[in-house]
Amino acid sequence: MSFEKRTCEISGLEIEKNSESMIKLNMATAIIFFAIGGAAGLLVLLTRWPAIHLLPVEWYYRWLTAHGLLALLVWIIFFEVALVHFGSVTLLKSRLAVPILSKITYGLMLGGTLLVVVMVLGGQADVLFTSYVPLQAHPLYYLGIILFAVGSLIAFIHFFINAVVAKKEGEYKRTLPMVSFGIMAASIIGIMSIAHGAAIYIPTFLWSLGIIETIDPSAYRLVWWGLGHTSQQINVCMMVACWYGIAAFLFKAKPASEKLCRSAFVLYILFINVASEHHLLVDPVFSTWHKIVNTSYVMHLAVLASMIHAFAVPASIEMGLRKQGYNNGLFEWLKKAPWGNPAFSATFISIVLFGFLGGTTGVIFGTEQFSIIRHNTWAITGHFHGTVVAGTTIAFMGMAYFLIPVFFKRDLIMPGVAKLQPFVYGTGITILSITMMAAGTFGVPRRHWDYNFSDAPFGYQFDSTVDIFMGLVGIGGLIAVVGGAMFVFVTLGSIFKGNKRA
Amino acid sequence: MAIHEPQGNWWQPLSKDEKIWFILALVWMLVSFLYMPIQHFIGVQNPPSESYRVSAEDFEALIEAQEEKYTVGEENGFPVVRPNPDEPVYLKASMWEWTPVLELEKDKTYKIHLSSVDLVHGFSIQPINLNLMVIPGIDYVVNLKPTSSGDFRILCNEFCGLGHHTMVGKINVI
Amino acid sequence: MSDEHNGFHAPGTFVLAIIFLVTFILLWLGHAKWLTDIWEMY
Repeated sequence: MSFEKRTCEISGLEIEKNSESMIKLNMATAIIFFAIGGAAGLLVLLTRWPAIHLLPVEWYYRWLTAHGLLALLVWIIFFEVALVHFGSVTLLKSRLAVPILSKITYGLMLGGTLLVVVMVLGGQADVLFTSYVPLQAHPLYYLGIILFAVGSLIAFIHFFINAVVAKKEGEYKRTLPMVSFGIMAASIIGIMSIAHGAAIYIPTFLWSLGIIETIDPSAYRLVWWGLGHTSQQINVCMMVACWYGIAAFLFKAKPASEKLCRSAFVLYILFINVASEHHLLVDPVFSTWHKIVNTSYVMHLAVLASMIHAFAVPASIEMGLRKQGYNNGLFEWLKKAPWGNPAFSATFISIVLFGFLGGTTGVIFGTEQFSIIRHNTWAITGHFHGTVVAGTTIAFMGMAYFLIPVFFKRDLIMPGVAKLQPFVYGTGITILSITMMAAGTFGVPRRHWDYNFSDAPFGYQFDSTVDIFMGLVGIGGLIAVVGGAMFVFVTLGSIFKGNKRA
Repeated sequence: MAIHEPQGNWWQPLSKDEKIWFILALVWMLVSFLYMPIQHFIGVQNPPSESYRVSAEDFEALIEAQEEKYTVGEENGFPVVRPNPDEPVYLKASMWEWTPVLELEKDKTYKIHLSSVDLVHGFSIQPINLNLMVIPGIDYVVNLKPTSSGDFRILCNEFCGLGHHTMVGKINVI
Repeated sequence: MSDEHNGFHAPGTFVLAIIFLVTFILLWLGHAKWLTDIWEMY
């Protein structure tokens, strides 16, 4: 079938017009929300830094809620919607099947985001990201979340419509390319995750309107984490797909074994859902065997999948570079790798940090007994900054550096800044994540305004080493903010002011 | 290449290094998994799993009865309760207090009933860093044996409103 | 079966992966030790 498209001279990709404009729109929106979410993070950081303790208590929790929503949900999911289009249209050399769906997705997600942000910063939703009942927010807060979720649900369903149309029109014969396969796994998990979201946010919305009398707090936690954690596996899948993508674009790398890598994506799909119960390991209500089987047995199978990818991606890069002639010793390929290309450096940093910071600690904190000494401490916050920030966000940054010239037909501005950016951001997040975990080891709680407990009936002083960690979190955070700002300047600058390519 | 449809037969055996890595990863995951059930038989630190439904009113009544029977003093406006190790002990979470202050004996095992009368709270004993969830309407039965003596604090580590950071309770172990 | 599936294709990555696994296990063992420092509970 014929449709309007062009061939990209950098990547050789064939770019169809309708999907191109949606990819551009979603990517630019994602980066703008990354900037706002990052600024919210800075305010939170400066409040938790005892030397500054910037915000008053109510504003601390509001900006904390906003930081979580914008950085974890909005930035990442807008970028993922761009990836859904990229994986189901561009890579399949196909067309956007139902352009209006993409527009509805964008409208619902943007509308939902604005509603939620207005409610949170207007002081109508002091419930934090998890909004555990019976803590109650304004009904419009829940409605905003529902709109955002429905929007992303349509995007994930759109993946399958596009993929089916592409197959019918003969764009591929047997199976999807690996990167699209990963994005497909993410879309399946996305649909599962949003089903949980509907199951919990719709009743909670009705409860906030007074139509339903009570929501069981324990059941809320169970179902909410079916959304809360499962949605993180969308991010993991998308991140891994980006790793494979960048490795293929830059090195013509081929996974050593398509069989194993594809099976690993299937493990994610099968096992992440119940594994999300590892958030409930020190909850009452659930029995020991329930916890061990659901959270643990099943979680380890999902982790096994991550360990497969964590080997397969660098291995494919190594094989690609060895083919280019960097074949001496164990590590010549690594030394001679294109560290000056931010798409590569971001990808490699993401792989290493996701594994060492986020991955290891995720398995350990998700072990039933170890949860006793880590649950709800700042160690958890450190852990997920190792996964979602050091892993997903940096991988998406690498992908953005690659995709902006391809889709916007503009060169990156300030290439020197872009070259340094992944290292600055990675260093900041590494310091932040490790020192948060160290402070959490001493019991510093997460989501807490005053770790000096000055207004409490009984004072408490943490071990004096904690003060050092609190300061280091502040320093690491500031470095990360600088790195994040560099990313925003380079990408938005390139989108609007970069040199136009023919 | 990962951006193109694979050609030919891609259901191929693994290379040697990938195979070794897969086996190592699998074995390590099995070890990490088996640790959990085994630890329930040989370990002495495990998450409790006994819980019941309880209404806020009933739980308040239990707390009051305990205070009448076992109060031995007062600290910063909170009753200090020295319970009998053979009887159930009750500890209440509410916005933004832990009631009462408990006085426990070292190396005695207590059956502590934890519940909240309003929101979800986080029970966090410091400086030993032992953390559990407290859910309204649920009585969480925790068999706890303090193995060190001194003054301990109970922090709340689940957000429970704007006074969350002032929610600090106390346990004395003698 | 061709030669392609014998031998090490990515020895450098394999070494990195082993370093990762050792770090992982040490960190895990650390937690197993720290767990025994808290009060007894079941």
